[in-house]
Amino acid sequence: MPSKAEKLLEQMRNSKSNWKRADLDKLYQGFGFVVSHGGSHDIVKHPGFPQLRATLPRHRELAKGYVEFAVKLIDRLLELQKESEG
Amino acid sequence: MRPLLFLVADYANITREGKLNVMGIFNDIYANNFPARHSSMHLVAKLGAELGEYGQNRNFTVKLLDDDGSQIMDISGQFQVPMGERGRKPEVNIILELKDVVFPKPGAYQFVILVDKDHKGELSLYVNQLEVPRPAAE
Repeated sequence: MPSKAEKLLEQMRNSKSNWKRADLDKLYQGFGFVVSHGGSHDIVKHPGFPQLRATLPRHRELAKGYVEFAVKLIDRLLELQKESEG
Repeated sequence: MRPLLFLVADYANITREGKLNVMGIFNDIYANNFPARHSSMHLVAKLGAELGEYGQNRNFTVKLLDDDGSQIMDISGQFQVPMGERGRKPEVNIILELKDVVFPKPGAYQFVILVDKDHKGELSLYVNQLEVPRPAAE
């Protein structure tokens, strides 16, 4: 059964528009990323794969490029996790 | 606009025929001392236009953030999206020469490119402390 984060990922994969910053936080955190509040921007990092990082805006409404980037980053994470298991 | 390419290199230019030349792509910088100054690098972005964007003006911003999310610099500019020719979607090349960028400390820095405030790509640049060789034991 897919987790909440997996469902959210599929929803974002199907539609990149009209998401809020809180949704993106839930998505990243659901896949094990850590969201930290930086000096001028918020940063997302994955503790197991430090090369996977993203920046986040602080406004509530999200432009769709942030969602597109998150989907790509999580797809990359899933590939890396599969490789490390195999 | 769709991001097609986003990288940092020693040098880049566009020829008269519109070819994009890129030399010395890198993701790491090494320095003995910090703050470290990097004399010159070229940031290259290639963006693909969508149908409704032909002929429009677009604003872009490139930001450089440190490992803690603090902004080191930002550069903004404008470009006009060309018209599509022969049924092909046009592409836009952006080349920025960044001179004397100062990196306050070692770590992972992030370039972010935005077009009309929408996120188009990110690129990590790792700034490393060169190890000081230990003096030979007597």
